[in-house]
Amino acid sequence: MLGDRPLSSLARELLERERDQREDEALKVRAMQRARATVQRDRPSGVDFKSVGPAPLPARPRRLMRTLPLIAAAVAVAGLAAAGASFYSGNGEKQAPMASLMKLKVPRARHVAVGGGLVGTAPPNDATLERAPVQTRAPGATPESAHAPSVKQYATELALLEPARSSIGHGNYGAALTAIEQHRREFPNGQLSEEREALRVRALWGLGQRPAALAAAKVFRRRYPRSGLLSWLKSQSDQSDQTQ
Amino acid sequence: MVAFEHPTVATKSADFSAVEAEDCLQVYQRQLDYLIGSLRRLGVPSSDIEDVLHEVFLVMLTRWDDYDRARPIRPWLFGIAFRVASTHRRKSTREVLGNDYEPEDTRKRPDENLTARQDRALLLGALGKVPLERRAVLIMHEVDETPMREIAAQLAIPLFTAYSRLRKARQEFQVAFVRLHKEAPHAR
Repeated sequence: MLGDRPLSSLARELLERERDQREDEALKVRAMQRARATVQRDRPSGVDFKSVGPAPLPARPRRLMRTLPLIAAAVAVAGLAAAGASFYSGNGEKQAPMASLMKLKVPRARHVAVGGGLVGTAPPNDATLERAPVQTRAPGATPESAHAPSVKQYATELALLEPARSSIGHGNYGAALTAIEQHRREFPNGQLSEEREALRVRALWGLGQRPAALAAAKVFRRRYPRSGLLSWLKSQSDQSDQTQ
Repeated sequence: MVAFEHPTVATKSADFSAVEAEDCLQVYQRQLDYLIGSLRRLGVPSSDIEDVLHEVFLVMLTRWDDYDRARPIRPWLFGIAFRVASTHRRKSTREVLGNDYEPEDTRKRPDENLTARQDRALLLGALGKVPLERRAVLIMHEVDETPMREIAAQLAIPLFTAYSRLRKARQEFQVAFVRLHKEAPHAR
């Protein structure tokens, strides 16, 4: 009943040999490491994504903070120059220094300052004035709307990278690398590039590809010398050195 | 050979789940050879074995409470491995059996190791010619020596279906085995 055609003796022998088949020890060690990591805890990836917040501190406000003293200085110089000119002109026009100062258009002065010179008395150029990066935001506009594209991109990047992080947490490093590669293809220089590269090091390390992980870490440190995302690597390296 | 596992009896305590998880982990460790071999026989490519194996572990951990301690562990594990391997095959739409098999140690007695590798590649190649559903029955019966009733239960198929799959699988396997044996000049 069990079969019309019996198996050949060689086939049967090879099938029986499968019962005592020993498998790759390195594979078993890696499998146990992953399994143990899963059991012990939902292991963190060691990489925390920076918060997007309502308006991530972009370059523009920082630049504004840097240029604010220059703007103030330019306004002061322009004001003094205007006051001096009205004082010495003697045209009889009684104009208070502050009034002449108020007539000055701050955007012009600011434009001159941002342009690299503090020559507030330079005759204004209408063409450059039109291009001036002044307060173009509408009174009711919020900072968020100004940075909507970057926030949107951040969200997209996060959606791509979050699976990588959770995969690492579950010890599924192959899947993590897939997500990391997808992010690299779509956002090679994205806002989360640093986190992505840190995750790559973590995933390679988890896969047991230590030389590749260390090489990636070296590149990472060269590119992000002040990053603290690979702080876990040192302890891991020390630990593995001790076990060897 | 039917393997039974007798896990530690866990007491109802605060860390009950931790004890269970550790229990599951120990069983997994003892059955790693079997699980890896089963995945290879089910046609999971060597490059994917590690990830698929981990998926098996995750399912095993999730369903650890469902495992009936009075029954042998291997059929239960094979049932999980079979489902995970089937899903993996559907996703990856590729199956490499026999061709990519690389044993670990080739330093000791290389001639003997080479023969063993060729034999295993021949076996896995022939198994690869049998459709997965029938192959699972064949492996469980011929390799794992699982009783047919248990096979039917683990694969959730009627007993009669299990028998008919076994009969057909044997035919397909034997035909493929003979053909591959003739084609392979190194075969014994």
